[in-house]
Amino acid sequence: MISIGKALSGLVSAASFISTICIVLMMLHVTADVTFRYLLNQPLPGTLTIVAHYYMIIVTFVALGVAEKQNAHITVEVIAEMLPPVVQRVLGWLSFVLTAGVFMLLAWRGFEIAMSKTKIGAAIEQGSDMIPVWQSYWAVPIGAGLFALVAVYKLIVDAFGTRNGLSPQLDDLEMLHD
Amino acid sequence: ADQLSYAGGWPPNSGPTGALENYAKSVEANSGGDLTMKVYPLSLLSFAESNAGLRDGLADLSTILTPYFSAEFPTLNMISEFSTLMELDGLSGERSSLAFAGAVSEYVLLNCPACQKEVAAQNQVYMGAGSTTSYALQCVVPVTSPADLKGKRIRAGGAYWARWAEAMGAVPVSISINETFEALSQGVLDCTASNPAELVNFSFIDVVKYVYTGLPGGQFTVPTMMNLDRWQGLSSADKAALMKSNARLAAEMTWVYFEEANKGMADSRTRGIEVAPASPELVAMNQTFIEEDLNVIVKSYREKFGVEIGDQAIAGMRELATRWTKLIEGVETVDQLADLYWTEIYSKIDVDSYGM
Amino acid sequence: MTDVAIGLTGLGVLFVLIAARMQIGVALIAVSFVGLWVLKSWNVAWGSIGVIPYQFAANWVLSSIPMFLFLGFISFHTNLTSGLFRAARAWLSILPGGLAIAAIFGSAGFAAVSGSSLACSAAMGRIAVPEMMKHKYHPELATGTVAVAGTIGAMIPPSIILILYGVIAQVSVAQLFLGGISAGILTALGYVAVVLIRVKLNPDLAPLRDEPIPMAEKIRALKDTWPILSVMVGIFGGLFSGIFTPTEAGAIGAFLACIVATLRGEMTLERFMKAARETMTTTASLIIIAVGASLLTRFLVLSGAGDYMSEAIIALGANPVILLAGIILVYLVLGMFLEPIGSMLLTLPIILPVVGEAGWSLLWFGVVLTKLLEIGMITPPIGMNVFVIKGVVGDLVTTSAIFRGVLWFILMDLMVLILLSAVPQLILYLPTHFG
Ligand code: NA
Ligand code: NA
Repeated sequence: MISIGKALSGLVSAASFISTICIVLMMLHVTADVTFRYLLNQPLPGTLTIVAHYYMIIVTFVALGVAEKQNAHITVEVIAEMLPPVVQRVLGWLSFVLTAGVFMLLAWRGFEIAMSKTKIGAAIEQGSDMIPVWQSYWAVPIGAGLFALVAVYKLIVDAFGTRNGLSPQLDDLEMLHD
Repeated sequence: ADQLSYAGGWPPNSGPTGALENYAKSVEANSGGDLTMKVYPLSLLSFAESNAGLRDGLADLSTILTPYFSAEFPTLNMISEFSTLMELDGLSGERSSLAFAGAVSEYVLLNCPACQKEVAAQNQVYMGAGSTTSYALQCVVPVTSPADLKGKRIRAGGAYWARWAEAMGAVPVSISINETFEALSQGVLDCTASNPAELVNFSFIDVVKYVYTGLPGGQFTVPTMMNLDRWQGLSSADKAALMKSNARLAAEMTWVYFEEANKGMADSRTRGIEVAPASPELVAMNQTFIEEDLNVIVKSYREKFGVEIGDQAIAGMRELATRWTKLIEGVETVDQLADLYWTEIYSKIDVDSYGM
Repeated sequence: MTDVAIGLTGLGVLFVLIAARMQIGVALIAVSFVGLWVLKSWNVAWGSIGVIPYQFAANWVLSSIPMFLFLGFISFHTNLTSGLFRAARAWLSILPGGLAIAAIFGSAGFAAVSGSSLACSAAMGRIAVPEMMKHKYHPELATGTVAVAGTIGAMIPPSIILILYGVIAQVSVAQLFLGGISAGILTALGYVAVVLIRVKLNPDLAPLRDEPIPMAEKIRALKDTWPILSVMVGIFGGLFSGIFTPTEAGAIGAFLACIVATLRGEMTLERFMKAARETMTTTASLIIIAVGASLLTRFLVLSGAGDYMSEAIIALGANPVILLAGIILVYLVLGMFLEPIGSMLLTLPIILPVVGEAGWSLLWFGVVLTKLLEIGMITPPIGMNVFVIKGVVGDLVTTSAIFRGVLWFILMDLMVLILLSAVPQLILYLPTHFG
């Protein structure tokens, strides 16, 4: 289990790196567009489409698994935290099952769509250019699939008490103790 | 009664949504209550979601703005781009959208097997189209000569307007329609090439100082599509009733945009905004550009999407544009327009074989 | 089972799943998927989870959310904002709960450069919560204040909600913005009053500094505010002189923050990447919920359950006070579950004709509606602003504790609502005199 966790960790790190780069690129790209438009009267063609269809899509979907690994997905504890620990533990498993199920479904559906968009070479018209966007549809099955895998792994580790090969980061805690 | 759902991408209480609601009433009346229709304004599908949503059956009917789906509807998009024909001598005029809506619907519904095939591939069937009026240049600074256009930042909402701006030495800017007002008022943009209806709908009237008609032209086609399985499952009588209402919808939609454009320009005049035809020099330059651009359109759709019918479509649309410019001469009301569309186009469709 | 019953059952199941600590985004998608399947067909359900998630996320205007988040994270990690808080603390320390009050003023200031309440909470949460915790503020007060202060972000222009409303109701966006200013300021003052009252009643919530601060130190503290002020001036100046649009302002702001931090020698690659990583996970976890809410909206629309709930309240009657109370109630209930834009889109088709019939000003209603939708951002079980703050504090404070901290402010929000309803001139004065 630990080696599978390590491998999964590698995938999540790659996803994290790609999404992080997208945040940085989004900032630089928009800033460059504004600068070129204002100073040189020459906006960068396709900025809106690239921001919406590439950076936003990658950040939204590819980062899902990263957020899951870091327990950053949002839940409400109001009622659950009043329940006995055993029930809470079972609810935790249920949560992994539901997450894995929903996102496997999304990954499968996203795969179908990505295939068909690739086949027709889906593109968006912006200005007089055609900007291909079919590649970005692959972020959905990849991101949703990774999210589902991380959830399944956490379920197995928690249910069978095996050692966890996924190391959660402690960014948020560190921040408060700076 | 069988209830159809229509997902529109316009906000509630807007003119186009009103046209959809009248369509719903017409469907009920024409089918003797056998068919009803519920209109979902913006709440069910946005324009960006409409194609996939309609294909998968989230709604039974929807307005599909085909330029959003370049790879899916190349033939229809090419034919829509021929709307620039309406700026040429003999075809131009403030009511040219009434003629273009007729021409484009007649061409696609009766003369274009390639279009039908393209629509069927999306699990849809074409129900006819309305059209906006010609786009006009709306500016915060005066533009009276070709020299004035040089370097101006102009919002271009589609390929034609972007090509036009580039050819004029201006700078085409892509900006979302919801941000255009701010961009104009803050000086990010000098002009927007937009439908005059948007003077009021997007408050451009509060910021622009000059509206030039006849420049750059181009109209936006507003087609309605139906889910193919749903259409094929209807009885002959219901299909006939729906087809009769389709003529009404095309007329209502075109009329709404026509009236909103007139209102936009009238309100602008009241506010002291200069609303006038562009200078003859600019109009002549525009017409020359359009004639050259028509061939560019055909060539680029052949190269990018393998659309082979370009030359014959251009000839067909020229002929129909002329025919329809004559046909609409006496039309004074939306009812007359609906009757005209029905007699000349929609009544000629054999509903038993159409879309099967 | 009727369609409406299916819709209401779906909402019930959603409530149970969320109470059972399922991830909210997952619960929303699951309920919507199964709901659409039962209601319509497998094809419709299968189709919607294909088209809606991608189309929802592929949105240019939405991109301002990660960019404003990034601005906030960069500002925090490079200590760009700590000067602001030293100054605020220095000047407001005589007040009970001075830091919390400073956080409210800070949010109001940030609201002027942020279009959404989420970005506002995220930025101020990063800046103010750790400061308050460090000074032994009660966690509920610290987190609650920042969660609610974020809602000012959607009232004071620019505001994504007001822009959408203006387009839908065909009201001038510029006028709506002017109307939002006074409502935003009133909201901020109300929150300040809540902090003062709470700390007065229970001084342990926010311990005071022991010794008074000399004037020289106060002046010195002011000088430390230049980094964040220069970023704000850059954003404002650029917006109003026509260099960029409100959506672009987030990216430019983040870029400016990077430059200022580099000039001050506070920028390291590690801090930069940390800010970007946090932006990415926060964005993904927020947008997946918005995707779920967007799917739920389709389910509620198609089942008629949304219409059903609204109409039941509107049927209350002809008395304008009762009618308004009914509308407020509808939005408070919808706001418990839905994201603001979803519930706005769901209800405007029904509400706008009612507003017209009652003879109310559409401009006034737009601002009141924004206030109502923003209250939804802080009410349980789905309170997006609260979740943002939860993301900031990690495991140190539970979500329910933050909701408890928010409760007091919701009472004040209701009073502000009543005031705005009773005296429409509060909203209409600026648009009529300066529009
Ligand atoms: Na704001
Ligand atoms: Na809520």
